[in-house]
Amino acid sequence: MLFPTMTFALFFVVVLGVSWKLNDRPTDWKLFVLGASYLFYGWADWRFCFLLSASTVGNWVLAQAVFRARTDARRKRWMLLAVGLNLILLGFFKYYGFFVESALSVLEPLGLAATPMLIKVALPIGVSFFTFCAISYVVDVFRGHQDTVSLLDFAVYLSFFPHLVAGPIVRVSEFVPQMNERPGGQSVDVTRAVRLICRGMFKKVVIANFLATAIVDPVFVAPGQFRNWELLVGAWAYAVQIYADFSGYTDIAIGIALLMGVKFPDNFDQPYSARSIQDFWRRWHMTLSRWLRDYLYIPLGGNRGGPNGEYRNLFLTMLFGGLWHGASWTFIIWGAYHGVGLVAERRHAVSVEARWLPTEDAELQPRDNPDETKVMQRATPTVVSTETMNPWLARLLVFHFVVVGWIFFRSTSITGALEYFWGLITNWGVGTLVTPVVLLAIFVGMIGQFIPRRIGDALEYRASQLPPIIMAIGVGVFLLAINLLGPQGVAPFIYFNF
Amino acid sequence: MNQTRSAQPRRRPRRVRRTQSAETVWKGLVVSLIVFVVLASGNMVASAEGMPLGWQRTLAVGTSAVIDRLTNLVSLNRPYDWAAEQLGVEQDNADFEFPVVAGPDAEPSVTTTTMPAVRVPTAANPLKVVVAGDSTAKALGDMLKSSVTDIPELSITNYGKVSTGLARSDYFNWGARMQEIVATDSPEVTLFMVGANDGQSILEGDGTVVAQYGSADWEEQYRERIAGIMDLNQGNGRRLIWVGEPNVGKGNVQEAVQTGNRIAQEEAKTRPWVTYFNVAALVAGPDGNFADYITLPDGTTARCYAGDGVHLSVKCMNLVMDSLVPVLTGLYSTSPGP
Repeated sequence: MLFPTMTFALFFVVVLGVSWKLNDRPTDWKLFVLGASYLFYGWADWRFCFLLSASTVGNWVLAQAVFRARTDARRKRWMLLAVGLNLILLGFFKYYGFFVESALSVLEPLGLAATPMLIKVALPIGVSFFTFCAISYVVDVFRGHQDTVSLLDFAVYLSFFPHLVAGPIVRVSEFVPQMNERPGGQSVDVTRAVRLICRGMFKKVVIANFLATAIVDPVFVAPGQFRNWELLVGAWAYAVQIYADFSGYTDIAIGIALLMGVKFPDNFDQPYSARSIQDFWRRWHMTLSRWLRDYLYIPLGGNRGGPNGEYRNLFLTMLFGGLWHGASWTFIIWGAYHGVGLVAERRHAVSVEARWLPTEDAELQPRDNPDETKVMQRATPTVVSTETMNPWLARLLVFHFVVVGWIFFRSTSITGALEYFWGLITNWGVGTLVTPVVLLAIFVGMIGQFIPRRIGDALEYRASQLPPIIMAIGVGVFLLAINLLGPQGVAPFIYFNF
Repeated sequence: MNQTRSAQPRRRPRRVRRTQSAETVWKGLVVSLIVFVVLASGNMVASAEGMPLGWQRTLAVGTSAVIDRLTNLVSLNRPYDWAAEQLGVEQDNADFEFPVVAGPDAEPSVTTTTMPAVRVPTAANPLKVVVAGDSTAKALGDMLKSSVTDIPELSITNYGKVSTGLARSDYFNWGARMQEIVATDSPEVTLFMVGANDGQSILEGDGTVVAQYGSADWEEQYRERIAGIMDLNQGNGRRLIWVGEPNVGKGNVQEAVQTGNRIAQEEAKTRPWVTYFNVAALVAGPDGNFADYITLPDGTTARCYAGDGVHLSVKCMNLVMDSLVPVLTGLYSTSPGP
């Protein structure tokens, strides 16, 4: 079930109404939301509900085992078993075909063609997201950061439909307390929710869908046939499209959850206004970056073990982040590319820091997990670019560094990506796909990155003063305008594939 | 002391957003949806008609049609319809009915057994080639464009449209669209590829169900539509390459695809201007059926389909191009000169 559809709208009218009716009865509320979430998830293919429920029960049981184990060694064993099983689940559904094909491409030239079980494995929507949520729960229990929760609480946490299929990746500690201490039904932050939902719908339905059909899909299918301006604008357009698509989805998800009285963490913070690569990763898919930091970078050693250890861990974290996005060499290269970029930037920053920056800088500490500052003790100069170069030049450079990465990310193969780059420097000309409307859509998508937050907040405040009926009619008309401006049909969200 | 106090910037009082009760929020949501549905009732009917057949569609079509009629009485849907027309959102779904055809065993409708040769194109005056059909055609067209960049004698225009087919004229009428393409573009060669979305009942443009999927009438009605597309491409020396769908990895879709391919082959035999291009044979597994992985001519194994088991991967699309481009250029190729 896709958010920007009438089917979802009708589903949500019912769910929202019943949810608030049951607000004073937490157990009933949880059971109802659990049922609604499974209906939402099973709408496209009910068989995946079995996978979700198996993951729920399995992880809950293993977390209980971690919690009850008497020795640290046993606790660790149970935790490793849980993480291993989750990775096997993820690996089977997501990477089976990739590994089989890669192995065959190596074996066949050597005359060692094996006959693996060449079966087609359907990718269950959202499997990466709920698997990561499950891992975070088990590891948090192991670390003593999280008490175990009831099976019902865990099942609702994992399946809660606003974040089930494409995040944000929420932690149990952020979600379960909100279920058990339901907010009163008298003060719903409707203006913030409406702002998020309308903004998300506009980004997804108008900007992302338009750019996809107008320029991105054609240039990435066959880059060899397009002129270099088409390819350049196509790459910019994809940067805007993927941002509009994914942040649009999370805006809607956060807004919907807010209407139900549940607050999610932010997932995007004007990422293309970043002035360094590290700054970009603190603004892009923030909940995944946080997850990778807490459950991969830090267990790998974080920045303990000297600069070389830190660079290795950083690189490996980004490499895994790339692989998480999908079973393709293009994603691995994309992750490695960002890893190399971050390492290079860190090395450069450290050398600049030694010359220019103060050694203590509170801003440079991890933002939202102060417990881990011990591991990340050495200041990480995130904004070194602003200290050494014009901020707009820094933004321009970082944006284009990211755009180059997106070309790998979007291309169907490495050959396709190389063909794209080759076309950028050889196929001189403007072409026909670069139109004023395409440029306008890119401009609209980008300008949102630089509008000060206070302007949005001021508008939100003014909107909150409107009579509810006027606000409701305004929302209806706004949705109408989106429906008119967007291409026909609703394309699936890009991140459903991940 | 006073001086110090006045030097400090005055803090602006924090403006607190007004919140609403859950009941008001719910009522607001309902009002928003009613506003949307009433003002865009025509669009709602079209969206409902595009749904797969079943009780959900019946309910959606019935409900939205009633709302549309009511809003039409008071002209509430006019602004949306006007804006949609101005923005070119509405599909020009001209009334088009596929003509009745005689069936595979009947005498050929055309007595001519040979076709005049396709003119030899030049780079200055390339052969006008149109690709049309569903999303598989769209991908085919995109790939064809990139495959013939070194053949300036071919000019490819891609009209492939996702989620379309021949069964649901209420959603997208390929008969009307093909008539329009022939009239406006005058293609010299048309490549047409559909079938992956046609495993469903056949509907007219107005939503009338003319044949339930699986019924005896379905094949007859589907044959009329295939033949109709072929006949629209007759005349002026125009050629049609009917590109058959590959076998697909979804049981219900595969049945429709196989039936469609068979009918297209049968109908092509009776029409000299039509060539049937058999993609399914090119990308089949060792047993001739669907296989997610196939062995390519160079001996390597490749995954042949995208994740949905319907659309071909780039590797297999390239395989198709290796055979399709010679068919295309073969239409006009002359013997190599001295």
